[in-house]
Amino acid sequence: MNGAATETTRGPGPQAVLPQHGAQELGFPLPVTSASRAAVARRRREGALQVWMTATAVAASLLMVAGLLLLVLVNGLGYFWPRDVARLELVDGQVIIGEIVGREPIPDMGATLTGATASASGPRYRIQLKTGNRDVYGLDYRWVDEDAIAALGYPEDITVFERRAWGNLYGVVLEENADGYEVQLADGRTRWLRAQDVVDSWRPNAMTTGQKLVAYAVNVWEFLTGEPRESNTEGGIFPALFGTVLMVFLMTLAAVPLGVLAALYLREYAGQGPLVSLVRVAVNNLAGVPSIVYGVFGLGFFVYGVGGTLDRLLFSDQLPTPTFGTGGILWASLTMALLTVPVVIVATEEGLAAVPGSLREASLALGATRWETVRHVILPRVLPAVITGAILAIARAAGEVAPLMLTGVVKVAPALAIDGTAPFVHLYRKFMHLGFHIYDAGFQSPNVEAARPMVFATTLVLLALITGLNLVAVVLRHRLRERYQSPSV
Amino acid sequence: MAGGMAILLAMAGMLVFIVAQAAPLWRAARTEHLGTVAVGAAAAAATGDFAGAVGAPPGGGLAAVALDEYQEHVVMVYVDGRVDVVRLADGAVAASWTVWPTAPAVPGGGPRVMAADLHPERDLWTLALSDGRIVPVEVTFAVTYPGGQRQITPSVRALEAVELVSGPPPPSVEASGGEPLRRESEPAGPASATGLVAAVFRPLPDGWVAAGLTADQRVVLRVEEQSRSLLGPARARETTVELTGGLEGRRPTALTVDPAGQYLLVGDADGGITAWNLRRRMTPELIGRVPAGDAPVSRLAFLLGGRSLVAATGDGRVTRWLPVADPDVPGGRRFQLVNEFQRHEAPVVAIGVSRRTKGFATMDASGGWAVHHATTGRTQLVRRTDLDAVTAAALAPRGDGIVLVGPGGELDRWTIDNPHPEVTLGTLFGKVWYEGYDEPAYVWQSSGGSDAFEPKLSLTPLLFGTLKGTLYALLLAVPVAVMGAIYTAHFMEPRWRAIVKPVVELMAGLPSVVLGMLAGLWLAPWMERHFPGVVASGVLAGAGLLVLAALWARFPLAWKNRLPASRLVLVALPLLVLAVWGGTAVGPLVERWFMGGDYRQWLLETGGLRFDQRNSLVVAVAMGFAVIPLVFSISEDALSSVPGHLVSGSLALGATRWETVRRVVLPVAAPAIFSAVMIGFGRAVGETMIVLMATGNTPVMDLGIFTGFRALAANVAVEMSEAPVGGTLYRVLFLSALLLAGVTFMVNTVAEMVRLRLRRRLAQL
Repeated sequence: MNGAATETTRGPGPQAVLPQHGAQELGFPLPVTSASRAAVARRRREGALQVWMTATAVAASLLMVAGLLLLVLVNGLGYFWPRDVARLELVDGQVIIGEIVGREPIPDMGATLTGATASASGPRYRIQLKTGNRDVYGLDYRWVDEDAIAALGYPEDITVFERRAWGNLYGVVLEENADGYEVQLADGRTRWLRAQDVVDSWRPNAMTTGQKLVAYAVNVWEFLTGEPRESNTEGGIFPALFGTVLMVFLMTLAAVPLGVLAALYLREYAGQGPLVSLVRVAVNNLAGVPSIVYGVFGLGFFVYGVGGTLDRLLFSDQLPTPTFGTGGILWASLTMALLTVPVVIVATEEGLAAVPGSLREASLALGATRWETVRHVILPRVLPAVITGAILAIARAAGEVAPLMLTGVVKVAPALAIDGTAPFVHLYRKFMHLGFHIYDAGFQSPNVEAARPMVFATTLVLLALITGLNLVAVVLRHRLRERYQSPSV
Repeated sequence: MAGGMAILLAMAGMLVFIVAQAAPLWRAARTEHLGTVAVGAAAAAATGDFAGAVGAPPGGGLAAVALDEYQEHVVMVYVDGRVDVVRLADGAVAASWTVWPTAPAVPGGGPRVMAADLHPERDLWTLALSDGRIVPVEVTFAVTYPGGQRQITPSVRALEAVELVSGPPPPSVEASGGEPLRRESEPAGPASATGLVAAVFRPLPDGWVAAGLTADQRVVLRVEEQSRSLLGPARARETTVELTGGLEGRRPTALTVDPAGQYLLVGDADGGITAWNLRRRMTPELIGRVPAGDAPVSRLAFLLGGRSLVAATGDGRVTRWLPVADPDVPGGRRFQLVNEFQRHEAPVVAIGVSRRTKGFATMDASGGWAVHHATTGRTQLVRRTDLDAVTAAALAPRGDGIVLVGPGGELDRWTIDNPHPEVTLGTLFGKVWYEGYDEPAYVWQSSGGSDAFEPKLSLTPLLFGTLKGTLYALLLAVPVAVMGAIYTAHFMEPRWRAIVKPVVELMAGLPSVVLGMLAGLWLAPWMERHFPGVVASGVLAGAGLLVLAALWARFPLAWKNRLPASRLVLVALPLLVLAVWGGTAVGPLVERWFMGGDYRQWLLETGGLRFDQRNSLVVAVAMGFAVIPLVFSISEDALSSVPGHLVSGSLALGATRWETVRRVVLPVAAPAIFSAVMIGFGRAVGETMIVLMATGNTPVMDLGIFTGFRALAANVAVEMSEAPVGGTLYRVLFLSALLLAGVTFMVNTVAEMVRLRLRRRLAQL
């Protein structure tokens, strides 16, 4: 069946096939070939398998994108939903309270030893529960075999407490007063919970869908504006969001003017010789230099070189404690600016190339100087391209983490770079970043399992930010183009 | 507008800066002669170097010297049993001690110091006395900072002497403090009227080891072993063993014991080194003899860390030896020649050991001296003093200075500037025989627990990791991207193309930290759980593809018009989804039927493949997200910009669509596809976060697809923040960055040039 299909990978070329056809048309007696052989030749020429393979490649690429986005969306959005809390009674009399977060077949270890006994009864399943109460049980999650469950219910009196430390607590409130709560846990023990340790509490099983939607919105808001807790595995991400935005803003301030100047020079001032085209190739390639290289440069040059010198000149009284001589948001932004300048240059150059030469010539002919031409005629027209470049640069910088790890990003920044104490802007301070938050919470935190949902939520925010920026770039480019590009040109 | 050019220059400056940071790795060691100072009243007056007189040079002169950390003091051990610590700034004796609290009746007539040995890791001297005793003398330099100024206060004290061979009754020496031990000592060693000619003493946590050579050519070892029982007092057992028999009649000339008291090594007059294993201290075990040269062994010394043995022979040969596993004796060790250094012209009189690195210096009797480094096996510096002869010499503990003693007791001082001795092209890229290894190996291990750690800075395993990750990523991504580009450019319906292209390019905008996170936290555990399912999915997808393609080829024309090539992707999408779903569903069955119930075991047994959770396949998939859109986008642009008349001409001549793509479009666009692959390669080589998060980051050299690796870029990200500024690791990491920048820059430039040429060619077509 697939003989034709597999052989086609090295099928005969047109030279081999075409004469045969020619012969047929000319009416020469053909060598006796069966109809199937002709069909095989025809199929071979069509390259069915190859075409299918190329189609599958496209499908695979599309699936990859869709799968990834779906994965992040489901996991990230699910994080905020106030899930119902189940109460399980096990066969052995044990009572467990927790959110059901997963279900999987139990890997049967005994199958190889006892033969395929499990296949007769079908795979058995187990469910994963988030039981919380880390201070009592030591772990947030546990697995329960479905066979071991005697009864499963969702009693309305179960309360979820979001605490400042030790994660969530699940239990039934026995007594409540201004100082705190007397909570009975699943195993019957009671705990006293002080009011100041509780961030929030809710009874998911008693909530209507509407109430849950409200709670969902509140959770999202608190996530975006809250402070992180428990070494970034809980709480909000506001400092990381703030750090990302501020770093990107500072970077834009540095990268865009530099990039535009360089592009103007390359396109408007420098003679278009081989040297300039070489420089252009080099600029293009700088965009392909790995970001970690920029990080290494930023560390060596900005942090230790410039920062160290500044410290010796201006902050010598504080040495050996470094002020600028250590990673900080300013150095990170400048490093990122270097990284993204090629993006701005390339985009601006493209815009400049699209400006018709007649405009330049007309302006010069009217007596404008070169600078006046650039300033009043060319710049307004390349503005869309510049802004596109800037936004592409921002989108790239917002997602880069490797250079930041060397130049000033930290797990938990004690203070924001902008605050109420004079001089209000503290550019030497270390900062937090969404991307690094993902890396840190997902790979460096002591409790990766508990941090996972939060990591997905942060990922969602980062992706939304970057996608949003890219969309803004598209829209803005479109609008500005309409405004500045008269249809007559 | 010079500003524009300045910006471009600044960007070039970036590369220059990185080069400048890495360049000092190759700076040769430098030295400077500080001059010669005479220690003695007359000399001091003559040179004006010393404000005070040190005293007349004692009879017989110096036995040995040493410098302190800061090279402010010199310790001088005199033959008559005096140990002076002299301040170099003014020549004052800052501390002094003598074996003879009261002068012997005959001046200079008492037992003499025959040899002095300096412990490789601390200021502990072993004086071998001519009356058969060993006196350990400890020099301490207490460093204080009164008023922010560094002040060093030296002091000298002796530990309890060990009577190795009996001689004349010893005068009392200062005893060490501590609780008294109940001794079960055997009688003191064999009587010998001739005393010692060389000795070593090594204090150990539970006792000590003392060994000596006697003037009548015997080797005597005396050890103490303390055992602490839970009840009752500490007990100490001492024993003396004579090991002369192990030499088989050869004359012993030098000896040493490593700081951990594990090996005793004795050099003989025939140029051999005989080793004993002291693991069981009370019963030393003869290892054997290895030849080190033709001339008598003149000096033996262990380097920092106590693993590398340096041997110097009378003909000036300097060699390094390591204890390695003995293939003939299970659990046994033997000494193996590892490096040979530049030869001296005269017998080596001293081996000075650095307390910071694996560096050491050798000084010969005629005034020549050299600095070597054990890891690199290189001799870094060779110089000669103007002294007529050298009786003793020492290397400063930091390895930054050297002092040689002339026949008249004058000190000749040199500084040494050798900031990165452990790096050569050989250690960066070649196999190196490290301490603790049984053979030369490529190892990256930049830091360890103690000062004695030998940095292992081989970039080879990291380059290997980078290339391995890149290779697998490209193997996965390039076919998908290029085939996808072919389909999108020449088969797909144009209105779908307008959607598909931006969607695939959206992938390029995904931050690598997100890809790495998903790979490490989601894909890796998922694949570990469903590995048989992944294999089954692949098989199912392939089989489905073959079946569908064969069926489709046999479709009647009417059906084919319903499902033209431009719509195949509509079938391929559900096919893939079904294959993945079905594959994961039958995964457990596949594992039970075809993989013996445990796929890890099966992989190991059938393919010899180890399976790590975070492996190269996971990286390849994650990196695919980064590489596919790049390669896809560039290839698609090139494929669709092949001039229409070529395509039309081919089709008009009767070629099928596929034949046209295969024979006309692909050859024209091939250079651009090549350049797209190059650009994808550049991206994969420099990728940091994905490999950091999706591999175990273990720098192993294993080509298996199911094992992890450590890539050059990830290594920089991991280690840079802990590298001291200006240190060797710091510069090696800059070198790594330079390599990355260089490779990607070159690859991208080639790709860009290929693309420009193609563009010109297309314009001509």
